[in-house]
Amino acid sequence: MSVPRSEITGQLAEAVGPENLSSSSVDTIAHALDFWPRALMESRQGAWPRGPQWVVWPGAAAEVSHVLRIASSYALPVIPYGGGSSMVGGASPRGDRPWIVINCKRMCNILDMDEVSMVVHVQSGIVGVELEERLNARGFSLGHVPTSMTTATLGGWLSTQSAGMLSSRYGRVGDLCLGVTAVLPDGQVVHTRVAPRRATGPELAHLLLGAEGTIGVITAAHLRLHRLPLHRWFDTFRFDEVAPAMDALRRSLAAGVRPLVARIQRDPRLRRQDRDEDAAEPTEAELALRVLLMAYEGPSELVEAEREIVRDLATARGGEPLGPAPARRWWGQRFAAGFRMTPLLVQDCLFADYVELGATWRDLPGLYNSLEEAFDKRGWRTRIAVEHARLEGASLGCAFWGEAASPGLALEAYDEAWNLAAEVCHAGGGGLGHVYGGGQHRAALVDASSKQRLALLTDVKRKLDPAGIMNPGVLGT
Amino acid sequence: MTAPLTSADSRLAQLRDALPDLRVSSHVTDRIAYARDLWPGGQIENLGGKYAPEPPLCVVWPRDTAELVKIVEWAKTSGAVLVPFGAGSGVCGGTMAGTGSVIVDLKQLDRVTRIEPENNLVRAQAGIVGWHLEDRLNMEGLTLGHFPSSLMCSTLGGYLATRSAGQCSSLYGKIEDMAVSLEVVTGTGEVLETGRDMGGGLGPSWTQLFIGSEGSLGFVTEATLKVHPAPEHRVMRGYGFRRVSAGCEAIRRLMQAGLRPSVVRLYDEFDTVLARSSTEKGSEADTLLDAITGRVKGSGALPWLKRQALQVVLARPDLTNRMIEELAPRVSADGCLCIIGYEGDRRLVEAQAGLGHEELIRSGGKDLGEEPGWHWFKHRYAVSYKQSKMFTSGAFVDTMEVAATWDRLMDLYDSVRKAISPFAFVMAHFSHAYPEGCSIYFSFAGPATDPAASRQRYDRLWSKALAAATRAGGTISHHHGVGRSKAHFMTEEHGNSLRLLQTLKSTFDPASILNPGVLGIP
Repeated sequence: MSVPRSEITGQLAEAVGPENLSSSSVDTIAHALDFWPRALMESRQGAWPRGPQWVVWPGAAAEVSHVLRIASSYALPVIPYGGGSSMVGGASPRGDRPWIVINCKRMCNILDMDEVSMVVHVQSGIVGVELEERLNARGFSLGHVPTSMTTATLGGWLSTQSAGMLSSRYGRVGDLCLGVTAVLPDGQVVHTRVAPRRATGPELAHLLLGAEGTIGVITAAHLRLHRLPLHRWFDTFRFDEVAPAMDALRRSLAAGVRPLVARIQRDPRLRRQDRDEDAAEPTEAELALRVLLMAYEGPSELVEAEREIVRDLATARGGEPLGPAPARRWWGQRFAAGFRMTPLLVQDCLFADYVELGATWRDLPGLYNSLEEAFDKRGWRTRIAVEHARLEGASLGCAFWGEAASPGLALEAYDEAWNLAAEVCHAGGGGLGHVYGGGQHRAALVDASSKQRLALLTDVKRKLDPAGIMNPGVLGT
Repeated sequence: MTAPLTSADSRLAQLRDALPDLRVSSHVTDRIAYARDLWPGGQIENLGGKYAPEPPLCVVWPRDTAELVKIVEWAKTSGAVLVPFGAGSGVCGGTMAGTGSVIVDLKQLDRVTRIEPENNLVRAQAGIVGWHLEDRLNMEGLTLGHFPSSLMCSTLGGYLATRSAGQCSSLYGKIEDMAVSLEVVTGTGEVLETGRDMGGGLGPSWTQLFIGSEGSLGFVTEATLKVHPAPEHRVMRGYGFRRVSAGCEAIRRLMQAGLRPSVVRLYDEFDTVLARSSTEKGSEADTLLDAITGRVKGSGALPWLKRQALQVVLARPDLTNRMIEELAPRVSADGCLCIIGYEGDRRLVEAQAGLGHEELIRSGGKDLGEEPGWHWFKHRYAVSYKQSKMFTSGAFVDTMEVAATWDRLMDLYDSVRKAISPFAFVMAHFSHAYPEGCSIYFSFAGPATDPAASRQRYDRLWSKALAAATRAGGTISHHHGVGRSKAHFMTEEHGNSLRLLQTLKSTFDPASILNPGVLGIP
């Protein structure tokens, strides 16, 4: 199909202003890839993808609406774009069609701040850390702190239902969201209304939350805030194995403890890149140990009660109290782990990614061990942590990396690792990929039950987006 | 009374043919009993003798999901309308038969399928009565934490259909906060598990999109819900606030300080009197009259006098409302009553009760001790079973539960109260508090001696009150749902985002066979 490019360029320029439209290679190359490791690995062979035909930077929902009307009339695929930090190919163009990337980052204003209700109304293109800093300046915090904090935008978080490192206390980003403004494919701007809770039909914002831009472009949201804490408390417990640590954590949550952070991993003091220069190499025995890292905030009397409950449950299950230092150390380096993508681009034979799966408590120890074992057996390195703990279960975050004999074999190993992870996950009762979204990548790996749910998304999408313009190819659409 | 079965006979025969094993009743008693829920608008009609103006064709009782799928398949081909039915205690006309519709009573699906204490989860079928589910969990040392006052006359499926809230919602959340996955039979006959991937899964949350759909998108047949250890400790306490606005401000501070009380209730001036005197034995009419005639005038009124007095009071609700405003300080020396409770782990309860007490006193609250708290606790389910007594006393009663963020809450209170005042005697309490806002529960009573005139008055009251709520920036329902009674206000409620609901409807129920009319969608 031939597309009248100059005609479309003219219309887009009218929609957002010529200064907010670009087809120059600087911009199209910059928007060609997100942080999906597989695509990065492919590109290091020199095959940098072509990128979108147009990048637009709308300044308001009305301009997004105009762009979507143009896209609909020419049936052009569109990607709503924030920080471009998707790790699953959710924000990169695919196939040969001419794409429009809608870069939302000009829509980065706080529209209203209701300090009485502790609710902020903010545009979706704001980068996470900027939003948090602006809230902090007024004594508030969003309580959403993923490792993508410095890169990702609010719109990206909402579209993938992101979970931050404080999710045990504050939930996923959807739990903070009281309402959204979104532009539907035909250009209609819809607002879901704000209420603390309601019983007037399904919560309609949930059709856009987690939809990864397949239903519409989220342009603003109302979010719950928290008071910026004056103090945080930390505790660490060392266990011989992972299961009793999980049990102690599960029982703590059941007792009503609401920790700021609760994770189980190797002792952070043993991490190579974080170790003191003069420290001895960790022994096998040390590496086999697991620590439960806890952080708290809130009124001190309440925190004291919470810490006492966790201490009792942990020590009764063989947990040795290590004091606050290791947990505090992890906190100090909490952003260090994320987004170290450069090695993937420069080391030809390296492969790496991050598997995240969710499960109920009963299935977690088994999944933890079988995942570790399966990766170990192939000589791949892993670092597994229990994260996003909640009443009924938690996530396993598993960073894996290895080096293959050739770039081609590295890609093969990468795919094999993912197939293996999916196999282990489904055999062990887990669900794959629930922190970063599905993008192009994960949707193909999920089990039949998830596929059925994604098929229903396609059904709904067909009605709202008959031309199929909204981020086609992600989430199986 | 009920229309005789004529042309409908053939459809009934078809149904029996298609599903010979299905339990079906077209007995007139069942068709009247299942014709509508407890929507007071319908109750007023009952007073006039119009018991089942649009009776269903029949009532069916599926025994499992497979049988329900077959019913949906049959409805798709025959064009029959299916209305889901739990315990029939809805108050918004969410389960109302239309002529020729088939009532699908889900109470045969009443099993607790699995209790998983090691995952803090329970799996139960939708037809189980709330009380039975809680009882079963209690035997394992667990609680769901969902305590609507209808607990004994409502089902899990009903809770999920309406986004129900219990009295401990500030701690345990509403039903949408408890559910992690649902099994649903959609209007296309597809069986869907909405959230099997624990913790999320990819794409939009179908769990959140089916909860609250009031049977318009599918039948919920089973649900997986979070459960908690049964509380080892509980404290209750009463506080008095000079004005209801001061009490609201105190609750806001409490919630925003990071405390999670299980019970938060603040009664306005008149509701305070009722709350303190309500018992299980006395009807609401008695209590209401005691409150006005007994307490205010200081005389003990006899029952026959009460009925007369009720009519006098309700004939001029605007005057009564004003009188109460004037008398408020005398009605209760302690001001507006606020009940705060905590439950759970002893250490958490003690720590929070201490912090909360300081906050409430600092905010101007007067400590009334434990007694008012335990009094409420003892009578917490009483109110749901008094409706019929009021109706037979010649009054209509209803409730309206709205919600808003804190910045709009007092405006919402004043606006709705003012809108109802000319039509009915009105009082309110604030409950279901969140860090960002709160719900307001209005109770009102108007005269119903002449059913036709009363119904008119009742409808006008609701239109004015709903308009006032949306104008003030509140939601028109916090936990009762929309049903048919508020259906005409869905555009005001949702604006153009209602289109998303219409899209869900056309996707999941393209033949429009599921409970048409609820939520304002055909």
